[in-house]
Parts: sequence; structure tokens; C-alpha cells
Amino acid sequence: MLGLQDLRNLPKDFERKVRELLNQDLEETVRERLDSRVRTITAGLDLEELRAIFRGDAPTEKPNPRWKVHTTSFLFHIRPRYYQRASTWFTHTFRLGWLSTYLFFIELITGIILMVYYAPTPDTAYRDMLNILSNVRFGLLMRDLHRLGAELMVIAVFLHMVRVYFTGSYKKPREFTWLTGVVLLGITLFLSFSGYLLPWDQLAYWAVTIGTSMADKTPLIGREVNLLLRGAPDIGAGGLLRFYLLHVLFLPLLAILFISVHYYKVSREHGISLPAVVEEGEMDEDRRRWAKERIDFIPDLLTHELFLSVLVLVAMVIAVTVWFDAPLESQANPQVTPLDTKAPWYFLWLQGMLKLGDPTLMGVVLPGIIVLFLAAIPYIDNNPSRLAKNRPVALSLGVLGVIVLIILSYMGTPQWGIETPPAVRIVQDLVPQEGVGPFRKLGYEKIKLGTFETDSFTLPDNPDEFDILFAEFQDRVRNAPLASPQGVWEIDMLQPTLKRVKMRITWTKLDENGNILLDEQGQPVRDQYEKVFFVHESSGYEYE
Amino acid sequence: MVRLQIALGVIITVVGLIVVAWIALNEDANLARRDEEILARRIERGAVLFEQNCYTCHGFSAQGVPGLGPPLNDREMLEQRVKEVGWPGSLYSYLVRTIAGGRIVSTRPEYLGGKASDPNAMAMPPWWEEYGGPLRKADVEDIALFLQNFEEFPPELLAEMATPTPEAGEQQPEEGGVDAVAVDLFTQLGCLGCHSLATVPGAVGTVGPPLDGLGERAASVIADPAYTGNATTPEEYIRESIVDPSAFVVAGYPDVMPKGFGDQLSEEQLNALVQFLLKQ
Ligand code: HEC
Ligand code: HEC
Ligand code: HEM
Repeated sequence: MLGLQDLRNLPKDFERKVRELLNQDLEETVRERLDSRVRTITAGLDLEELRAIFRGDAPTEKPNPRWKVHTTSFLFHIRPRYYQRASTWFTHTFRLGWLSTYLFFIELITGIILMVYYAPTPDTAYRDMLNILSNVRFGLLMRDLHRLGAELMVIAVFLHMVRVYFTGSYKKPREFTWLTGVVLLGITLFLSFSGYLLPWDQLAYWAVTIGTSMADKTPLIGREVNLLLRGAPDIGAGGLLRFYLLHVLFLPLLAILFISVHYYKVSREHGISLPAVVEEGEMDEDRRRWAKERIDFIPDLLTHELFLSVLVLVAMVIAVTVWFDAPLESQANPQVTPLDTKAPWYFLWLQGMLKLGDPTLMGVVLPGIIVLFLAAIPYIDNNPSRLAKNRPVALSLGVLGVIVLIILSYMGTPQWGIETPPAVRIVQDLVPQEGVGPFRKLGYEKIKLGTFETDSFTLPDNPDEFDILFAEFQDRVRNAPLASPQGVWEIDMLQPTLKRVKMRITWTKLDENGNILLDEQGQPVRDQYEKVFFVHESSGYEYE
Repeated sequence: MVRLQIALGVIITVVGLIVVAWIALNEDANLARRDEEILARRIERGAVLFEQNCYTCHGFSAQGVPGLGPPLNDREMLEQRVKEVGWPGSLYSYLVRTIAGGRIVSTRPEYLGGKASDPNAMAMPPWWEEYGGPLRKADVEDIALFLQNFEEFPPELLAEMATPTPEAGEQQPEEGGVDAVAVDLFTQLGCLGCHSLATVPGAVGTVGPPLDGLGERAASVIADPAYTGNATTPEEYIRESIVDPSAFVVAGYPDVMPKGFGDQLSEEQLNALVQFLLKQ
């Protein structure tokens, strides 16, 4: 208890304290205090040392206090104290492994933020997406970053594997690292794919329906695998929940586990490989010694990684504000199969393979063999040398593999090998079922009212965008492989803010032999395709 | 290298912060804009769903089909309805509820003809899948948003809608003045709700016969022995059809065209309308 006496003593105590302080060297005290704070925060570096780091000077004490950080700090103990200079050359790793890890963390953070606004049920999922776009500050930014990050991560991981292959870094003693890498490639692909379903739009729904139907083709247990994934014969509430749990819980945990193992192997056991020239090539001995010198993680590599981190993040933020938009189509509808369904681009190669033959063989057996082969590469390739000139077969096979992948992916796009009836194609290209397309892109104001016919339309002297678009339509209709085709646009107003557009293409029906079919009156029978759609004043298509 | 990267890193960070600040400054406006866009696109979807599912009874333009379903193309009328039936909620909730659940017993038999008194006939079937209909919740909501978007056409817009398009212009020579009056009348009197006519935007009704090519058809109608009216020229025939629709009922159509147009229209207006239709 503070007694009355204490209160009386207060001014005196205070005076004494001040006198004590004044007697000390003020600067000294402040510096000491600051120093100890700084040491706590930096896990052992004092102010002097920090300054030295920023100035690029040598360590101020011995033993090197910068190494101490690696034992005192949890985060730094994960990283090695030093690397051999040549293994950090940019052209050796292109920082692709680092980039994969970094993107994974970006995904974790943006993903957790998105989770706050998302509930995985068919009724709420899509509504929540719209809400994120129109009602959550920075919601669009988070979603776009998350989507872009996911796609970049697939690219980064794939390129990382390609670089490891071409530098021969999977060879002894790093076979196991490669193996965990193959698992990580799989995890990355499935992380992306499981996230694909969550917006619950048409794009997601049908891509995943097609994807999981491949599981159906697994010999013997196909039905069970499919049921396990979808939770029911068709994707519905159960399937959405399962994909959600895979995406936010199971696969991320698995990824963290495997990234840890992978990274442990790289950083603790073998170190990053040296470029083959340095390890076994012909090189001036002095230069080789220099190349193998150790460089400390702190500060050289740390600054480099921090620099790359802001560079990548800011580039991504700029990319999503300037051009990258995560797609969102209309709400998933099991009753409406979209005209152009396609797998996410990183699975197009699989869709391409499926067009080539039996689904069980092409969709399950062959991909399985490819994965096994990938995993077994370090064991199959027993050529001990990593130098490019000693690996002609391995390198040409690698190049061939990449080319085949690109061709298969091209074959997987809907443009290849799938025929849409010409009239449907023309209208679909103008006003796609999903997305904007050139017609809506004109915008509400520029869409003219009236009836426009390909038979009578002539381009006016100073045509506007609408006229030009109709002229293109006219051209395509006239050149369509149909018998005397005619096209009409009928545009009127249904509501003061809503324009109604009817697009119709008619043509004469032919029988199998190409003869004109006639009705009872002897008139040629006309076939038609019509699409009716609407454009609202504030749909904002012109800004997309 | 270390110092260069620190310097560059700081610059990039500043650039990044500026970009984020710029996003933050525009965020509220952007959210509002996207909100509006999402609503607009839902209305478009609702319109498509309406045309696909409801046209049989309510007409392509929601103008109603005599004997099958009431008009829905008037928000004020619908708001009136909501008050009449004593619905406590908003028009939107009334629409969602009505569309989702359909209507077991007719409340507006005047629109239903004989069907209203048939105890076994449902006035309107339910549309939401939970109640056995074909549509999902979001579909029903989109249609309700669409119906709520109906409002009076402002006069400027009507005038604009009536301006002939390039093609239409070729078919309609100089007499634009009289034609414009006729087109206005055709729109305002609701003829376009029941009749389709290529030269009048929005005239897509299917209750009555299409009026394209009426001038030529009229001649053959009066020549037909089945004709029951008194007209002797196409012009008279059209006048009669408007003033006294029951004088002759076109085969295949119900006798539902309103009878009062003769009293509503001045002689000049009637002439304009007849002359205009004669040219079609
Ligand atoms: C089988 C014919 C039929 C179809 C198809 C139909 N309706 Fe109806 N609808 C009716 C009838 C009849 C009424 C009037 C019921 C009454 O008398 O209470 C009605 C009433 C309504 C009402 C309430 C109007 C009021 O004034 O209370 C709304 C809203 C409505 N319909 C919307 C729709 C929508 C939206 C669709 C398409 C999804 C649709 N209807 C399809 C026959 C139909
Ligand atoms: C409620 C719907 C309805 C409205 C509103 C309506 N009509 Fe009609 N109209 C019909 C129907 C049904 C017929 C065919 C039956 C008949 O001849 O009475 C018809 C017939 C006609 C015909 C004869 C067509 C022919 O092919 O011989 C003319 C002309 C006509 N309407 C003009 C008009 C005009 C002008 C208006 C507006 C002032 C109008 N109608 C408003 C329903 C409507
Ligand atoms: C999520 C995916 C992955 C992450 C986060 C990751 C991370 C890393 C990191 C940080 C390194 C250090 C070297 C560098 O930056 O390049 C590395 C090296 C390595 N990775 Fe990966 N990796 C992933 C996927 C893969 C894949 C798909 C493979 C091959 C199938 C693979 C095989 C290897 C091998 C063999 C090394 C050693 C390379 C060397 O020592 O030069 N990794 N990985």
C-alpha cells in the first residue's frame, strides 16, 4: 500500500532518480538499452553489427555474430549459414524452388483471408464470391492474387523441375529429393485443381466434373474412387465440401510436410548442387576455388531474397490491377452443359491425351506410367556425369518431353477436333454463353434498336462499331457452310433499362445427299438457330 | 550488391504501397460499381429465364395472355397488388414467394377465363425446385429482380425507340410525321403487347395476329366468303378491326382485343393509325 509518507517522499525520490540519470552518460544508457532491444529482436545482432550489414562491411566481432542468428532464431535455423557461391548463381537455379515456396506462402495468406468470407455449400458458395467482389474491401485484390499465385506456382514448380532435370541435379545423392519433388508436383497440381471448384461457377463445375469422371475410368475401383471424390454420383453439396476440405486442410498440410522434407534434404543434407562445370567441368583452378567459396546467408542471400520477395509481390499486385482477372462465370448449373468446356490449362495435356484413345488407357494408365517414370528418373539414368555434353540422350529426351507436352496441351483445347454447328459457332463467337464477347462489349449505348438483316444490310459511309460488327456477322453468315443462309438481329427494348436482342440464323435444310428438303407445299424447309439475350444499362460490359 | 538490392527493394516497396493506396482510394467506388453490374447481369439472366419459362402464360414481354395469366410488366401495378393482398414484406419478397410457390387458388379470376372456376386446376405451378419446380433459388430471385425492373417508358425513350432504323427508314418514305404519331399510339395504347410488327420496336406480342403485310392481307380477307364484317376496302377493314374488333374475328385467335379503342381515339389519331397499318 502506498502510505501518506510515501506520497510525501515522492518528489524526493523523483529528484534522486533524475540525479542518478544525469550522473550517467545519457548517450551510453540509451545505446545500451537500444542495443539489448535490438539484440532481442534480431536474435543476437547488435546495432553496430546491423549497421555493418547495411553498409556491407565485414562482421564486427569474432566469432561471426551473424551465424549465431541461425542457432537462436527458429526461422533462421531452418536456413543454412552459408552456401557455396556457384550454387547460388542465378542461372543455376533461377530461384525457382525459392519462388515455389514463396508463392505457397502467398497462397496461404490470401487463402486464409478468403476463407473468412466463404462458406462451401452450393447455395452460398457462388453468392459469397459475388459478395467478395462487390462488398468486401480488397476482396477482389485477394481473390485475384490468390488465383494468380496458384497459376504462377504451377508454372514455377514445373519450371523448377525442368531446371533440376537439365542441370542433372537429381543425380546421386539427391534421388530422394527428386522423389519428394515429384510428390510436391502432384500436390501443387491438386491444390490448384481442388481450388478450381470452390467458386461454384459453370467453369469450375464442368471442369471438375470432367476431371473427376476420369477417376471413373480407373480399372476395378473407378466407381469407388469417383464416389470418394464427389461424395455422390454427381458433384453436389458433398463434393463441394470434400474439395473444400482437400483444398484448405488436407493438401496444404501435406504440402507443408513435403516441402519441409524436401527442403531439409536440400539445405541440411546435400546443399544445393553446384553447377556441373564447377563440380566436374574444365575450369581454371583459381576460379573453381572462388566459385566454391562460402557466402554467408546473412546478409547477402537474405537481402537478395527479401528483394525478390518485394519484387514478386509488387509485380503480382500490379499485374492483378492492370490485366489479370480471376474468371467468374454464371452459377454452376448441372442442367446446362456449356458449349466450350475445358480443363484448367495445366491439365489440357491430359484432355489432349483423352482425345487420342481409350479413356482408361489415356486418362489413367498412361498418366500413371508417366508419373512412375518421372519418379524413377534418377534410378533409370545411371550416367554419373552431370555435364551437358555427356548427357546427349537425357537432354534430348527432356526437350522432346517438353515439346510433346505443349502439343498435347494444344490438342486439349476445345478448338482442336471438336465441331460446333456453324450457326451456333457464329453466334457463340459473338455472344458467348459465358463471358462478354464482341457484341456485349459494344456496351448498352452503342447497341442499336431495330431489325438488321444480312440480306439487305449495306455498310453506311461512316460506319460505327455496331455497323462494323454486323458487317462481320453478315460476312460470316454468308460464308458459312450452309445452304442459302440468312441472319437477323432483332433488337428492341423490353424495359426502359433493358434491351432485348434476338439473333437468328436460318438456312435451307438438306438431306444426307445434299438435296434440298421440300415441305408439302413444295417450299424448301428452313432450319434455324436463335439466341435471345438481354443487355442492361449498367452491366458494364464495355469496361471489361 | 547488398546495398543496391536494399535501395531497389525500398523503391519497389514504395511503388507497391502507392499502388495499394490507389486501390484503397478507389475501392468504395469500385465496390459500388461492381454491385450495380452484378445486379444488372442478374436482371439480364432473369429476363432470359422469364422468356424461357413464363411466356406461355404471361407473354414474351410479360404483357399477359388473356385467359392464361395476368400481365406482370408494370411495377406500379405489382406494388399496388402487394398492398391489395396485404402482403407485409417488400415487392421483391412477394415476387420471390409467388414465383417459388406458384398459386394454388386463383386470386385474379378475371385473367383466367374458365379455368379459374375449375377446382382441379392450379392457377400457377410452383417454380422452385424445392417445391417441385424446375428452377433454383437464384433463378427465382433473378426473375424477381427482372420483374421489379419494369417501369414506365419515359417519353424521350419512346420517341427514340420509334426513330426508324436505317433499314426501316427505306421502307417508310417522307411521311415520317404521321408515322411517328402512329408508332407512338401503337406503343402507348399497348397494341404492341398483343401484336408483332417489325417496324415498331418492342412490338412482339403473340396474342393477336402479326400485323406485318396487313395492307395486302386486308384485301384478301374481305374478299373471302368467311368474312363477316362490313368493310369494302382494306382501309375500312383496318378501321373496323380497331373500332369494332368483334365484327370479324380472325380465324385462330380469341375475341379478346379491347373494344373501347374507337372512343379513346380522335378521328385524326385513328386515321394516322389506319394509314400506318395500311402500309405494313
Ligand atoms: C400455366 C400458366 C402460367 C405460367 C407458365 C406462369 N404463370 Fe405466373 N401466373 C399464372 C396465373 C394464372 C396467375 C394469376 C394467379 C391468380 O389468379 O392469383 C399468375 C400469377 C403470377 C404472379 C403474381 C401476379 C400477381 O398479381 O399477384 C407472378 C409474380 C407470376 N405469375 C410470375 C410468373 C413467373 C415468373 C413465371 C415463369 C417462371 C410464371 N409466372 C409462369 C399463370 C402462369
Ligand atoms: C389484348 C390484346 C390486344 C390488344 C391490346 C390489341 N389487339 Fe388487335 N387484335 C387482337 C386479337 C386477339 C386479334 C384477332 C382477333 C380479332 O380479329 O378480333 C386482333 C386483331 C387486330 C386486327 C386485325 C388483324 C388481321 O390480321 O386481320 C387489327 C388491325 C388490330 N388488331 C389492330 C390493333 C390495334 C391498332 C391495337 C391498338 C390500338 C390493337 N389491335 C390492340 C388482340 C389485341
Ligand atoms: C511445391 C513444390 C516445390 C518446392 C516448394 C521446392 C523447393 C525447392 C527449393 C527451395 C530448392 C532449393 C534449390 C532451388 O531453389 O532451386 C529445391 C531443390 C530441389 N528440388 Fe524442389 N521444390 C518443389 C518441387 C520440386 C519438384 C517438382 C522436383 C522434381 C520432380 C524437385 C526437385 C528438386 C531437387 C532434385 C532439388 C535439388 C536441386 C539442387 O540441389 O540443385 N522439387 N526445391
